[in-house]
Amino acid sequence: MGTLQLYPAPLEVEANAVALRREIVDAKLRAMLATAALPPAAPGLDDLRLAEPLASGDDELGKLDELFAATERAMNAVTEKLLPAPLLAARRVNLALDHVQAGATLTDVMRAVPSELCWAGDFDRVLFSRVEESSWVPATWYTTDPGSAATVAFGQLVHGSRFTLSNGSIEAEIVRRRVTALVTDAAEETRTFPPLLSVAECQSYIVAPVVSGEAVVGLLHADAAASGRRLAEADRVTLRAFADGVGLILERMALVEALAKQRHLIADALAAAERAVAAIADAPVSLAPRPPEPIATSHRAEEPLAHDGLTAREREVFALLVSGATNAAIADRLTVSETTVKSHVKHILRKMHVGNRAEAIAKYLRDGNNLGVSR
Amino acid sequence: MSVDLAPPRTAVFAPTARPGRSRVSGHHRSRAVELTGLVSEALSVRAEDLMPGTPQLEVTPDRVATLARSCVSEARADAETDAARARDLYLLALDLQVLALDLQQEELVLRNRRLGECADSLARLRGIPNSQDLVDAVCQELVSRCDFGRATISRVDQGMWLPRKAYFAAADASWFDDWIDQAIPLHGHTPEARLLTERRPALVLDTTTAPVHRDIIVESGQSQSYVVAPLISRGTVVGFFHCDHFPTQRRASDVDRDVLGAFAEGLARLHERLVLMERIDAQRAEVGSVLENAVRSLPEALGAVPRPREITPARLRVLAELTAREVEVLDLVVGGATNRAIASRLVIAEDTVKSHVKQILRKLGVTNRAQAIARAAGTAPD
Repeated sequence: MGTLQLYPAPLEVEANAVALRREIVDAKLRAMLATAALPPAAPGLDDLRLAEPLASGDDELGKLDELFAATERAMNAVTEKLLPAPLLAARRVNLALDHVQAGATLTDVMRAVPSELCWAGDFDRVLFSRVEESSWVPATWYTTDPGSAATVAFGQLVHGSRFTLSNGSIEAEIVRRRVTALVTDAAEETRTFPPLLSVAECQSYIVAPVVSGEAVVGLLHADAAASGRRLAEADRVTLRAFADGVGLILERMALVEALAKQRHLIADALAAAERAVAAIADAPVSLAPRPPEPIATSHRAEEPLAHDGLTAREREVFALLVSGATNAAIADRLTVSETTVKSHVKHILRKMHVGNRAEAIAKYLRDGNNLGVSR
Repeated sequence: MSVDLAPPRTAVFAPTARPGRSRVSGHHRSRAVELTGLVSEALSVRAEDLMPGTPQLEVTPDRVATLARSCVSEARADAETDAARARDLYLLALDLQVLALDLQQEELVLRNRRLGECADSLARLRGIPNSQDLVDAVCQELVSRCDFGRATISRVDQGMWLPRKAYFAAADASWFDDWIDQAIPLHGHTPEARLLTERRPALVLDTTTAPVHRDIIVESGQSQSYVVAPLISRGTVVGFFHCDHFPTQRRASDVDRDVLGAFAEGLARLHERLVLMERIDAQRAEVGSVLENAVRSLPEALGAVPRPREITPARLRVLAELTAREVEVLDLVVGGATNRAIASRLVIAEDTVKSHVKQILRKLGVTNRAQAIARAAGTAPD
C-alpha cells in the first residue's frame, strides 16, 4: 500500500524531518479534499490548505509547533466540513426528490429534475434526456452559469437534437448495463461523445440511467465544469440515488394516472349501464318485429349432459316417447323389435322413478330439458 | 482507468457484513498500537492508561488526536530545558496526527460506501412485486448490506407502535415474536413518540439515560444504543425502522442515523409505488364483485313480480279447441294423473273422466294419452 512508505521511522533525526511531515500532511489533506469533492468555494475549507510557515528558517521547534497547530485546525475542518458532506448530500437528494415529486404533471417533473439535481449534488450543469428506442433526446437542462459562452454553445448543441445510442458509446453502455458511470478524465476517454464534450468543456462528468418499469426511459448527465470541481465517487453515489428516485417518481406518476383513469372508466361504464337500464325502462311500447333467433352455437352440443343415468339408446327412445310416439312407432323408427322398446321404456321409467309414460313426460316437462333431450 | 462503472444491479445477493468486524483497517490499528507504545515510553505513562481498552475499543481519530495533544503539551513544557526531547515529542505528535488523518480519510470513504450500499439495497428491493414481501425482506437487506447488526420494521397506527418484522445478524430473534403486533402506546418524550411529529431519524446514544420504551428496547431487546427512522407516506408517519449493532459493543452513530434515514426515505417511495399497483388491481376486482353481486341479488331484492302464467303457442291451439272442463282434465293428464286420480280431484265419476279424455283425444287428433300430453306440451312434432 502506498500509505506505508509515507510513514517515516518515528523519532529519526534527519535534517528535513519537519519538511517531510509537512509534505505528508499536505498530501493527505489534498487526498481527502478530492474524496469529499466539495466545491472549491465551499466555506470553511481554508484550514485544509496548509499556509507557508511563519517561523524563521532555523527555529525548528517553532515550525513543528506551527505545523502541529495547523494540522489540528485541518482535522477540525475535516470533522466539521468533510465528514458530514456525504450525509448532507444524501439528505439533500431526498429533499430534492420530494420537490420533484410535488410536480403535478410530467412537464413539471421534467423541468424540476435538472435544477433540483444541481442543488442536491453541487453540480453546475445537468442535462435530462429521454431515451427513445436507439437514441437519446435532450429534454430539459439547467446550469448555474447561464451567461457564459460555453452555456450558449451547449444550448445550441442540445436544443432539438437527437443523438444515436451508437455501439461503444458510454451512453449506450449505460442504457444496456443500467449503471451509473463516472468519467474522470473525459479528454482521455475514447467512449465519450465528442461533439458534446468539446462544447461542454468539462474534465469529468457522470451519466446515470433513469429506469421506469422495465425500461431505461432517461439519462442524466451532470458536471461541475463552471466551478472547476473534479467529480469523485461521492458524486456518483449522489447521482445514482437521485436517478433511482426519479425513476420511482415517474413510475408513481404513471400509476397514479392509471388509477385515476381506471376510476373514470369504471364510472363511465356504470353510467353507461345506468343509461341503458333507464332506456329499457322508458322505451315506448310498440309492436316490434320478432328479433332474429340467435344462431345456435356448436358448443351447446358439447355441453355435458345432466347425469340422468340413461344410456345413449334409452335417450333416443325417450326422445321419441316424449313426442307421444307409441312403442310400435318407436320400434319402427329405431328399427328394433317392440319387445326391445318395451324393455328400454321399462328401464327409463325405473330410472326416472315414475309409474307410467304419462308421468315420465310430465316429469320431463316439470324438470325442464335436463334429460339430454332437446325440447 | 478513467471510467468507473458501479457493479450492475443484478449483483449476487450474498451477505457480506460480518457483525463485530472492526471498521478500522488492520494496518492502521497496528500503527496505533505502535505509536501508543512510543508515547507511553516517552511520557512514562502506561499504554493502558493512554488508550484504555485498546485495541478492543475502536481506534478513532479523536483518540489519536488526544494522544498527539498530550505529547505536544509535554513538548511545549520541555522546549526551554530539553530541546532534543521536545523535538522528538513534536515529531511523535505529528506522526499521530498523520495517523488521525488516515483514519479520517478511511471514515470518509466508508461513509460514501455505506450510502452507495444503501442505494444498491434499494435498487435490489425495487424488484420485489408486492408490498407484503417488501416489508418481509427489508430488514434482512438492512443488516446484510447496510452494516447493521439488527433491524426491525414496525407499523404505526393511531398513535400505537406495532412491531412487524425483525432480522438479527448474529443473535436469537425469538423474543421479538412475542412483540409482533403488540400495540405499544406512543407518548412522552421517547424518540419514537417524538418521531411522529418531528418526522426525522433519531439517534439514541445510551439507552440507560435516554427516555426510551424500556420494556421492548432494554428489557427484551437489550439495546445499548440505537437509531430509529420514520417511514413517511403522504406526510404521515406510517412506520419505523429500528437498527443497532447488537451483539457487538459498537454504539450507534450519527452516520447510522443518516444512513437509515436515507434508506427509509427510499423505501417509502418503493412501498408507495407497490401500494398504488395493488390498488389498481383491487379497484378492478372490487368493481367486478360489486356488479356480480348486484346482478345476482336482483331477483331476491325485488321479491315477487306479477308475471302471467306462461302459455305456449301449442297450448293456445289446444285451448281454442277444448272446453274449460276439458282443459282442467288435460292439465291433470299432463301432470301424470290417472283417470281415478282425476275423478277424485275434480269430484266427478271416473266414467265422466273417461268421456272427457275421449273427447280430448278426438279433438286433438291423437290416439293415446302420451300423444295428448306431447301435443299439449308442444313436444310432439307438428
